[in-house]
This record gives sequence, structure tokens and C-alpha cells, in this order.
Amino acid sequence: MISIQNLSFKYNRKRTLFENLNLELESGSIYGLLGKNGAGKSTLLYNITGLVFPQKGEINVLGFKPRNRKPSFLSNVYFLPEEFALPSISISQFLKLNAPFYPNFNSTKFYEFLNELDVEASSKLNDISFGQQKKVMIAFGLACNTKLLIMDEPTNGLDIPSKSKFRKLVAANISDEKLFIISTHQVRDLESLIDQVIIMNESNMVLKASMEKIGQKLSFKTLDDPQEEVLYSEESILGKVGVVLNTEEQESKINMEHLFGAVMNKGGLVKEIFSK
Amino acid sequence: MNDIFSFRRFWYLLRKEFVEKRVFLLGIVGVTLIIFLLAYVSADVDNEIMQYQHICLFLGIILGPAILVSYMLGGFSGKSKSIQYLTLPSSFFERWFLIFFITFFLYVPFVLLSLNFFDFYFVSDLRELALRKQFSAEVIDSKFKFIDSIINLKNGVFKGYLLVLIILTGLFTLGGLFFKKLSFYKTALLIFLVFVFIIYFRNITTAYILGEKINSNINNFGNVTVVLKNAERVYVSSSENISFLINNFVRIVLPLSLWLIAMLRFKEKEI
Repeated sequence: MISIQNLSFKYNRKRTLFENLNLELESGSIYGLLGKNGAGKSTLLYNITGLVFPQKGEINVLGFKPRNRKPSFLSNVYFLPEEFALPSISISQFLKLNAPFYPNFNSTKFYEFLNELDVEASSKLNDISFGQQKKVMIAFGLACNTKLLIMDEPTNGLDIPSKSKFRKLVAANISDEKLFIISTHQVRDLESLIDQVIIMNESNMVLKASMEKIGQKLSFKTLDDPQEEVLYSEESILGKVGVVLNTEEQESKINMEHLFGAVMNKGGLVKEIFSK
Repeated sequence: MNDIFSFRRFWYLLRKEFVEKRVFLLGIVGVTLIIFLLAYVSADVDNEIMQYQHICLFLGIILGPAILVSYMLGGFSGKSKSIQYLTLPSSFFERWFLIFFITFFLYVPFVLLSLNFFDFYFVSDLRELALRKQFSAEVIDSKFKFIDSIINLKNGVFKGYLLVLIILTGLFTLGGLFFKKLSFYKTALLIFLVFVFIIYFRNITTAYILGEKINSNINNFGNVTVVLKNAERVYVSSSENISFLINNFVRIVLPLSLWLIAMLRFKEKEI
């Protein structure tokens, strides 16, 4: 669905952001794009949606070159930016003005999502808080039924119950034909939601793996064996917890924060583990 | 799906633009009409009406459209706005044509019609007043001409207005695409500086070559009036070929190029 080959991108002459980046993303998955602030997550998403143009390399999304920004491409992609400017109109008016651009838009679903996210459908967009506005945009993005849904830091501004509802809604709306990419630096927000992880650090893709593969390769546990090579550790009430190589093929619950810590800590080693 | 132009998508885009920017659109139309009203109300039988008509024309079809195109390109004033604007499923041609359509097919005709309406009402009134004050028919006809004597495609001055309108809106559209913030002010400043530079360059050059000042008539780019040191005016005309080239460049190539470059910039625009 998304194929990126030898992508090189820079905003200016001095700072190269991507150099020969390769990435293949398939439909039917929710990808979590993780990385610290400034790691290049948003820029990668901008390249995928044709909002910026690469200096070198090929990007193919849904069979289109994103930089052409053809309506037939854009009507199958919904990009929810981290911040947005909404006009001073009601939600129903917003729907009336924007939904016709998306041929598969489902109004009934939109109002269901709003209800699920506790947003008053009769509200005016400018009268509600940023968190509520974000919920409207999330509901709209999901109701667009586009093949590709990209959300940049969607949980920013959401309260804890809303984050949980967000995860529920996203998980319920993925299908085999769709691909969701959720970019965030709040790694815990995506726990139990994503099935593929992409971790970026300093403009490099350090890890791209399915949750299943991560579970096979790494073990997330209380560390009691001093001989084990620890990829990441931290103190907790239970003692020292962290990430080690899963040599005994034990099943463990993936802790996204620890995984992220391991990648930031020993990126080279993690890359090597997953390349085998 | 037609990826260049679809009437349906264009209608959605037009409707969205009108609803989301209704306050600005109503505001600019309202302010323009108020200015027309004030201009005509302040006109009296002692002054020629033509100066008021020109003020209205300048504000209505030169300054107003320049502000209008800059505001309509406000979608590029910030990253989040740009993302929303550029990811909306419509083609670069539709976005470009939307600006062109609102400016030349809706705003300018509306302003000209309103101006005609105000003019007809107030000039008729002034003519009547002048008649009561026993002005001669010749004086009334020369001082209180209806604006349709200017708003007329046979009138060179009106053609000049239209040319400036197309060039200026083209420049402000390009400015809106190049500058992210305060595009109207930045473009206006740039145009002003270029204008000053051209005048300065012309004066310096002609003073160096001819040892004289040159004043040129902006409606005809093929000839100039030289003001000699003894204040005598000499009319200098360029050869027919040069005149043809200059005139066609300014009247056809320049406005067309500006709007075509703007269209290409829409296609290549990044956030």
C-alpha cells in the first residue's frame, strides 16, 4: 500500500533529514510511528501525503505519486494533523462542507463516533475545547472511510478516558483494505492498539516490526539475572524491570515505553536482533 | 474520477470557501459599499463627479481584489492550515480557479454593478440639483457624467484599470503562495519597492543618457513624454515594432504569465 524507496529529504542544505530511507507498509494494520520530538515522524508523514516533496527516491501510496496530490488520491487519504484551525461553524455545517469530498464518508458512523467520544453534536466548533475539537476531527477522520488514515499525535489534548475510547474506536474500524498510521511521542497511548511498530531516532528508522515479532525477539520482565544482556532497565516497585533478549521463547506483555527505551538506548543492537 | 476539474468538486470548494470565510467576504463587500456611499455623499455640484468615480473604481476593483486574493490564500499562513488546505481532495487547478472565479466572476462584477447603482442614483440627483441651480446643459454633461462612460470596454482608462487589476491580483496571488505570513503587506511592500526602483532607475538612466527627465504615460508603453529643462514637453514615440512588443508584453504576456505561474505554484506548493 505504501512503498518508499531510497527516500532522501532535507528542508534546507544544512540539515538532511532522511538519506536513502526504505519502507514498505501493508494494509490491514495499525502502524504506530514512534519517536522523540524532532525525530522526523511528521516529515515522513508529510512525504507520504505529498505535503512536501523528496529530493530523491520514489514514494508510492495506493498506486499514486503523492506529490501530484490528485483528487482521486486525496479522497482516499485522511490526514489528521497535530494542530488544526477550525472555522467558526457548527459540527453539522462542518460535516456538510467537508464530507462530500470523501466518497465513502458515513454520516451515521460520524454521529456514532461523536456520541462515543462524548461530543455534543449540536456544538459549534469554536465554542468547544481543543480536546473536544480533536475528538470531532478523529470522528470525522474515521467516518471518511479512507484507505489510508494518518493521525499525527492524535492523543495530544485528550483526557485519559478519551484516550481509551480513541483506542477502542480505532481498533474497531480497521479492516483488511485499510491502513492506519498513528504517530506519537506518547508511546504508552498506543499500547494494545497497534500491531506494527516503527521507531525513528534522529531521522533514521531504527525498528520496524510487528508486535508478534517483538514478542518473539524480546522479553519484557523483572530483571533478576545479572548475567543477562539488558537492552533497557528501570527501577520499579517490583524491582528492576526492563527488556532483554528473549532467548527462552517466553511470552511477555510488551511494554511500549520499555521497548522505546531499549531502541533509544541500544538502537544498533536492537536493529541487529531484528535483522536476523 | 477527473483529476483536473470536476464541477461538483468545484461547487463543494466554492461553498466551503463562502461559508467558512463569510465574515470576511461580507466585511469586504460591506466596507466597499460604505466607501462608495461616503464618496458619493461627499460629492457636490461644485466639483466634478469624475474624481469620486475614480476613487471608487480604484478602491473597488484594484485595492479590494488585492486584499481579497491575499485573504483567500490565508490557507498557507500556518503549517496546520496548509495541511488542511492541501490535503482536501481537490486539484491544483480547482484551487487556482476558485481564486480566479471569485475575484473576476463574482467580486469585480458585483462591485461594478453596485457602483453603477450608486452612481446612477447620486449622479441623477446631482444633475437635478445642478439643473435647479441653473447650470448650463454643457456644464452638466461634462461635470456629471454617469460612470458608464468610464466603465466601458471602449474606454482606455477603464482598460487600464482592468489591466492593473489582473496584474495586481496576479502578483498578490503569487505573494500569497510565496509568503507564509502577512502576505498582503509583504507583497504590497515588494510591489512598492519595485515600483520605486523602476522609477528611480528610469530617471537615473534617462538623466545619464539624455541629460533630461522623462515622464511616461502608463496607459501607453510605447511612447514617452520628455520634460526638458526649460519645461518644454517633447513627445517621443518608439518604433512600431518596439511599441508593439512592449504593449503586448505588458497587456498580454505579463498578466497571463503571472496567473499561469500562480497556477503552477499551486501544483508545486509545499507546506
